[in-house]
Parts: sequence; C-alpha cells; structure tokens
Amino acid sequence: MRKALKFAAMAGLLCTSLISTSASAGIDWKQSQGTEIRFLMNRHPFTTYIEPKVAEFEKLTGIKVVIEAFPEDQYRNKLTIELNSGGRVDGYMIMPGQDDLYYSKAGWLQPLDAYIADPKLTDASWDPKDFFASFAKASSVNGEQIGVVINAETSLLAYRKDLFTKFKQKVPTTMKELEQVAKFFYGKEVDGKKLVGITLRGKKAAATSQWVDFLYSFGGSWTNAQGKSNFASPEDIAAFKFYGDLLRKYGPQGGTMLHWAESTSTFMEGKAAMIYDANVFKALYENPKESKVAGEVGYAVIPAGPKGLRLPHVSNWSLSISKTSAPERQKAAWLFIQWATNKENGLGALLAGVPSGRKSAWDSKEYKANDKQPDWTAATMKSFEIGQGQWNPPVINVPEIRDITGQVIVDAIEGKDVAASAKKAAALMDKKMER
Amino acid sequence: MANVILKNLVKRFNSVTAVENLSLEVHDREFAVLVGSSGCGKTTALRMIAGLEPITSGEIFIGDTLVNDMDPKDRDIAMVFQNYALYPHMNVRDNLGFGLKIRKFPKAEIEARVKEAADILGIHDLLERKPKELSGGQRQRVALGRAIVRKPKVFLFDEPLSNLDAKLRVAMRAEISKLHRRLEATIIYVTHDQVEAMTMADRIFIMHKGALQQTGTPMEVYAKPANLFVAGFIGSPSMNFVEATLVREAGAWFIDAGGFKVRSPESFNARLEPHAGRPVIFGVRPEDMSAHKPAAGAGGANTVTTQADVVETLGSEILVHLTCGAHSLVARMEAPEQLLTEGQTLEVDLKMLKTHVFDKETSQTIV
Amino acid sequence: MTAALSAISRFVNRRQRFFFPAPAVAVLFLIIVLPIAFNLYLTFTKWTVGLGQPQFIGFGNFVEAFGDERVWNGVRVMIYFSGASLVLELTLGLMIALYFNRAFRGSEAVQAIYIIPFAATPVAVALIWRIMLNPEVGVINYLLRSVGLPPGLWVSNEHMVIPTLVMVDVWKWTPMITLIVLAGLKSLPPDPYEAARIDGANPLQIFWYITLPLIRPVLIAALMLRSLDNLKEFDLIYTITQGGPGIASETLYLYSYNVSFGYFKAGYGSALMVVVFLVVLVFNVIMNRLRRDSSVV
Repeated sequence: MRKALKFAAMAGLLCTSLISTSASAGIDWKQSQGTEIRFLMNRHPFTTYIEPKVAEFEKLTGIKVVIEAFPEDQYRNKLTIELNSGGRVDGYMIMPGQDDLYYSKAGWLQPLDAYIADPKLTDASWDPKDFFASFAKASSVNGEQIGVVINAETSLLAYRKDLFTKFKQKVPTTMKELEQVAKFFYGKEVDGKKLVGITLRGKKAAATSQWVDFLYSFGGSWTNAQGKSNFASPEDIAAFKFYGDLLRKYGPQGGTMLHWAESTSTFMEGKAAMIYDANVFKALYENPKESKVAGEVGYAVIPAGPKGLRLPHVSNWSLSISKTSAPERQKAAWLFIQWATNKENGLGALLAGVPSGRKSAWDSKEYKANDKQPDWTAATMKSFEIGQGQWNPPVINVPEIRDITGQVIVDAIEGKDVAASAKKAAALMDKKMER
Repeated sequence: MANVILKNLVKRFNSVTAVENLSLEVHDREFAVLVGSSGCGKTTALRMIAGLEPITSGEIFIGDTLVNDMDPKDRDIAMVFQNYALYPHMNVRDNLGFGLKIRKFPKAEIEARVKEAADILGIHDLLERKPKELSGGQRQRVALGRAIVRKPKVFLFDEPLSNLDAKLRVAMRAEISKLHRRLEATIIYVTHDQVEAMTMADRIFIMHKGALQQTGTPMEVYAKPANLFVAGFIGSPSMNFVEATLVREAGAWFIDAGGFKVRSPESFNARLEPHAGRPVIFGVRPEDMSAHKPAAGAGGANTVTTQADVVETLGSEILVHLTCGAHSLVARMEAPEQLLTEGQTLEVDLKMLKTHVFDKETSQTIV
Repeated sequence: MTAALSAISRFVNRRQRFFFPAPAVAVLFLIIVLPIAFNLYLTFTKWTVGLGQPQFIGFGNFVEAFGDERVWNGVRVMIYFSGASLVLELTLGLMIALYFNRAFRGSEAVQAIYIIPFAATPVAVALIWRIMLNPEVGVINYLLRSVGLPPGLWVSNEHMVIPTLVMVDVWKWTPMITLIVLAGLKSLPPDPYEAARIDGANPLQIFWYITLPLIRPVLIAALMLRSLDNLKEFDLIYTITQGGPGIASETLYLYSYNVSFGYFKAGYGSALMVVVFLVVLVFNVIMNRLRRDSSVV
C-alpha cells in the first residue's frame, strides 16, 4: 500500500495529468488530525454554501476549522489589520485582482505550487486542469499561484431581447454598433417609460472595473512598456472618451453617481435597453420578484474594439493560505482549500448560485438540466476563456490608482476635456504608483 | 393732562377673578399708591394699565385717551419693575438710552437725557458697567433712570423697593418722593407695604381680593378706615380688634367685650343706636392706648385692667402685649422711666374718641 | 499571613491617592494617550499598513499635503459644506425655536414629530436619502415630475451635490439646534421683554436687541456642539456620495479616511487627520472665546 502510494507520488511528479485520471487511492486525509485552523471569510454566497459542509471536512480530516465571516466592507479592513498585526490567521478569502500585489509585497501570501505538486498533499482527483486557465492566472503573482478560485466572474453585455426584436435591432458586436444601438434606443418611449440606450457604472473608482474591459478592447493598457502610466496614450484616451460619451449621451441622468446597484436597478426597472456589468447580476435581472425584465434579457460578450479586440476581464474570489501561519497549520489549511474547491463542491456551489471556476461544473448534466439562460452560460464560458485576469492597475496601491483613474472617467462622463484630464491623471499616477 | 381713569375694570384668569369691577381715577401729577396684601390684584391692575396684561372687560383711559387696545409702547408710560428688569447684556448707558434709541431720538438728545438722569440719580460712575456688576440699590437707580429718560406722562412702579434691604428702602422712599416733585408726573405706585403707601402717597387706593376698599389721603385712610380690612391693614402695629356687644346703661353706650367694658363717647351715640345689642367689633390702635401701673382709686370708664405678657423695646417707644380675659391687645407708647416687667398687672387707658366700632356682619365701619 | 496582608493594606492605605485612581489612569493611558501619541508619531512617518515599518520622514507628509490637489479640494468642500450647513442650521434652528417657544395648541405633538430626523440613525437616514435622491428612480424627482416641476440631478451633479448634502444635513440636524436654543429661550428672564415692550420696541426690535444678544451664548454653544460633528461629517456624505461625483463632495476628513483606510497609508492619513483636528480645534477655540465674551449672566 505504502509502496503504491510512493510510486504514485513519484509518477505524479513526472506527469500530473496522468495522475489526475488514474490515481484513485487518494491522499491521507488524516495527516493533520488534531490541528485547528482559522479562516477569515467575506460573507459571500460561497461562504454561506460551504459553512454547513465544514463538519464533513472535519470528520474526514480530524482538523478543526474555525470560520469567521464579515460583510465585505468590513472584511477587507478586518483582514488587513489582522494580517498586519500578526493575528492567527491560517487562511482567508482574497480578491486577487484587487489585493494580490499588496498582500504579496506585505508577505501575507503563501505560494501554493508546492502543495499542488505534492501528491501526498494533493489528491489526484482535485485536477488543477479543470479550472479555467484565466482564473489560475488571475490568482497568481509573478508566476506563483497564491489562491484557488471559488467564485468566478466576468462582465457581459445584457440586453432586452423583447425590445431588440420589436425594433429589429441586432446585438452589437463592435463598439461602433454598440454606440449606434444605444443611440437608437435613447429616448424611445416604451410602455410609457422613456428608455435610455445603455446603463453603465460611472461612480469613480467603482466604474474602473467595467471600464477596464473597454480599455483593453480599445487596445489600451494601464501601463506602458516603461512601466509608466499609459493614460495619455491615444488608445487609453479613446477608451475613456468612448465610455464617458456613451454614458453621458445615451445613459441615465447622473451617470457619475451610478454604482452597480443604481445601474442594475435602472435596467431592472425596464428603463434601459442595455447594461454592461458583472455577469452574476443575471440572478438579479432574472428574478421576477425584483426585476420587471425577467425572461426578456439576452447576454453577449463585450463588443469588439476598433482593432477587433474583445477583452473582457475576469475577476474572482480565491482562498489563500497565510504566509505568517505555522507550516503544520498551513498544511491543514491547504487540505481545507483543496477540499472546498474540489469538483464536488465546485458543482455544489454552482448549483447554489456561486459561479464556479471549474469547467466540469458548468459542463455537468446537473447544471445544464436546470440552465434557463443557456445564452448567458455560453457568453460566460466564452468570456472566461478570453478573459483578462488583470482588471486592476498592476500596482500595490490599487485603491489609490483606481481613484485617480475614476476621476478621468468622471470627467469623461461630464464631458470635460478628456485628454487633459487623462494627462493629468497619468502624471499623478506616475507619482503615486507603488509597485 | 395725564390723569388715569379705570372704569369697571375686570380681569379673570380662567375661573379666577384677579380684579373685580375696579373703578378709580388718578389725577394728573398725583402720586397714587395701590396698596394691598399679595394677591389682591394691585399688580394685575398696574399691568393692565401698562398694557402688559389684556383686560377682560372695562375701560382704561390715560389722559382722556381710551388705551384698551393700545400697545404698551403707545401709551406714553414708563414702568419700574420689582426685579429691575434691566437688559443684562447692555451697560447702564445703553439700558438708559434703549427706549430713546428705539424711538429714534437723535444721538445728542439721547446723550443729554441719559446724562440728566444719571445726574439726578447719582449714577454717573456706573454708566459703563453691566447690570451684573451693580448692587441691588444701584440696579434700582438704573431702573428708575430708564423710566426717567423717557419723560412719560405716567410712571408705573411695581413694588420697586421690595428687593432692597430695610435701610436702603427708607432712603429710596425719600428719593422717589423727591423725584416725583421734580418730575411733576403722574405716578401709580404698587406696593404691599403700607408704610411706603403712607409715607409717599398723595392718595392711597387700598385693594383687597380684587376690589377697591377705600380711597383717600394717608391721613384719611388712617383716621377713618372704611371697613375692618382697611383698619387692620393701615397702621403698624395693626389695630387691636375685640369682639363685643353694644349695651346701653344709664343713658350711655357701653362696649361690652366680656373681659372689659368701656364707655363710648357721646358723639358716637347717634351712629351706634341702630346696632344696639348687635355683635360688633371694637377697634383701637396701639398708639391710642397707654398703660400704667394700677393707681389707687383711679379706674375710669375707659380704663381696662390687663396683664403684661411681652414687652418689646424699640428704643424711645415700647410695644406691650397685654392679656385681658380672653382678649390679646398690643399697646404702643413712650418708654416709661421705670421698666415694665412681664407678668405685671397694668391699667390701660383708651383714647375713646379715636376708637372704632365695626359691624361684625358686614365689616363696615360704624364709627 | 495576616501580618503580611495588613502590611499591604497599610501600604495601600497611606497611598490612596495613587492606588485608587490607578486603574482608571491605566485604562485612560491605554485607550487615549497611547493611540494619540502613536498617531502623532505616525504623522511624521511614511507607512503603508503591511508594507514594512514606519519610516521617519519629518514633515514630509505635511509638505505632500500642501501640494496635494485633493487636500485643497477637501478644504474647499469642507468650508463650503460646513459653512452653508452650519449657517442654515443655526438660522433655521433659531427661527423654529422661536416659533415653538410660543406655546400653541398641539405644539408638543408637532415638536415630537419635528425631532424625529435628529433622533434617527444617521446612516439609516442617509441611505434613505440616497435612494430618494436618485435622479432616475428616486421619489423626489418622481414627486417633482408629478407636480410638473423639472427633476434635478441632486447628488449626481458636481455643482448640485454640496447644496443637496447641505439640505440633508440641515434636515437632520436643525432639530438639535432647535432643542438647544429652545431650552435657552425657555430659561431667559421674562422681565426684560416687558421692559422692552414698554420702552417701545416692536417684536422685531425685541428679537434683535433683546432675544438675540441674550441667546447668543446658547447659539454659540449649539454651534460649537454641531461644528464638532459637522466639520468632520462622515456618515452622511460617505453613505450618500462617498465623496462623489468624482471628488466634488470629498471633505478633507473623508479624504483622510480614504487615505487611511482605503489606501492604508497610515502615515499620510494620520497627518491629514491631524490637520482636520487642528481646524476643528481652532474653530472651537475662537467660538469658545466668543461665547465667554457674550455671556451675560
């Protein structure tokens, strides 16, 4: 038995893919028996899904898991302060796109590659190849994986199928078409309501998360080859301008104060023909109790930019191990992460409404049987494939640079001189950027 | 011309009647004192004259003008309040000048009048001070000054001296009297202190339970009180009252008080006659009694034998509290050479011509 | 044993003035003195939470603040917001207090309803206002439209945002000023009013020459009390606009919060907090002096 294991481990080191299909003996789940680990979690649907199942894991491993969950606003503060003060945190939820560089620089992220590669620690059935590559990349810093995705998101263009049919409009596939369709619908009166063409986030830092898809699709980038801010480049300026004009000309009033809540509610009120926002808001759009447009919504990947680029971003929550924890507990924490992200839980979470980062979950019969919006699933899969993991400025002080970026978006929405604003922001970003 | 006339003035607070059918006339340049115990309605009457209190019914005339519906500011009156009512945030100069400033007097005029008032009242050194930096007497002067500068037709004083100590009160009494002569204005002065009323008034208006009891010069109300209340209110110490009956013996009227019996002067006879045998109240002022040691063979018809209880020495005078049977009496007299001792038996002579007899039922004066 | 105990008790007994306050002093030191001292120390350092140790940089943070556009924007917004809201709250609060001071039928019921905004939780009412002010789905624009008035952009417009926030602040806090001023009015002596009526003052003059000077210390006290909160107004602005649109409603205090807890730049954030603190301090020292000068009793 032991020999067989040893052999399997060696084989695994040589060829992990082979293991994933053949090894069934499994790892020793009891190897960290008696260890107690503490996880800080965002009070997120995934947390709600996994908490009642923790007892199973404790039974399987003999590890005691303490989960402390907080609402998102407080969670980030709480986590940062605990990690900084050296509190006993063994694992936590992280949004790598937001915090990975900062946490990595601060020395709070334990690389996971060694655990994943160790057949004594990682069961073959965990199958890392099953995760979408974009998310594995998104949960990595400098080539080292620092988290395992538990919630996978992207952004999609959602549109009113009924209106598009009624007015014989085609789903836009280019930015140019997007603007034309938005213009077409703006001011149209439907059921006594004046429509807007499209609704988008416009609220400073919050807007950057959706605007970034336009940035990439317009061929722009956060920084140039010299590592300086690229905001003053023609591509970046074009992206700022297009986004701002779209919202100002064809969007709801008060665009600069639209966060996702305001934007989605406008769409759900039936007042907008299109919305570009996170794909997971499908759950809102399709909820007949809250949404007047349930059942009437179609979904598409972001339209292509002038050079044909379609580059939406993907974002995710991951589970990470604290670098400051003790090795024994880190090992136990890895066992927990591994279990929480296995195929069974990936599917379970997806069926509970938490979008999984595992392809197998989406492909499963169980999911497909109950999928009421296959076009959403298709668009989401497509977006996952082409998605960019870097949806935030590649810096340590992400919030500060997002604020600087957001100011240009606000200026663009207000119709101010975008080039001047972008130039000023570029200078400020160069000054404030920490890498 | 600034006389003040009240006609059938009534003030009710809900069900309580504060002033009942008050009619009176204060003559031009007269110093009129409204006096009565607290709650008699005198302050309410004054406040109605001032316009601070709406009237329930009746009429008020100031200098022939009906002022019922006039604002206080249009009545050409000034008022001095019991609590001085100075403006705490203004210095004395501004306190004095405020009424003039409001009435848009020229600056120079205000200054002149303030100076004049300050001279009269001797408060020149206080002009820059705030009220909280003044003593009670100084505040009172400022309050007076504030009334003076306005040169109104009528001054209203609402117990202005009651917050001062006894000595200061005496001094201010004199000063206000002087002021009255100097200003030649009508003054209506409210007080509960009959001494103030007696010493300052041209005429006294005595009120009780919202109604006017008697009007007259100080000497009139002292010598000829209209009723039992006035008799008891005016004079200090108060008049002695004894319940008695009128009896006729040997052609003369006697006042029989049970413990003693005195003969009434003949001049009273005509008025006493209708009350024969009826219960009356016999009144005699302490100053109309003189006590002495029993002298052998004396004991006239108006001498009463008593016992001294307490002897209060006031200096040149003494007050002797006496018991005569069931009655208590107070006598006021010059201090005798030989001290009286308590418990001593004394004979008291009554100046019968100055005594009074009241109807017990109606409280009205018989003689 | 007993000997030792009684020795201890003697020892403590003789030094009561040290021993009895000791726990309180220790707690005070831990929760007040230490954090303030640490904050002052951070003011002179560059430190992002998590990234290394605080580095001493002298007055570097203040130099940076001086050249930071958002600091100046914050000062401007703070002056605009606080100036407008404090003046309005004081004026309206005084006027309404004067109105309530004259008892009328049902005034107690009206007063009770009137103070509800003041009694309500700031974040809760701010959230409700945020929803009501939404230009598309908010009830305020709905009402305006239904009576034929043009809808407004409210907090969604950079020029409208401060007046709108001032309106909400005034709605929320004027009752507090009213309550304070009303208490002050009720304690004023009645006599000077009668004296003034006889002196010939009309109601307006009485208000100007008597009430206002007499109530001034109370007004200043109310202003001080309110300014303590108002100059570092947070709940309301953060909940309704988060400083937006852009930074159009980002007060210095909000910016210092963002720097400290959004960017985790503890050193710079502390320095900005100290600046806010100094502004509040200076304002209150001035007010306190005014109050002492105008006190009459």
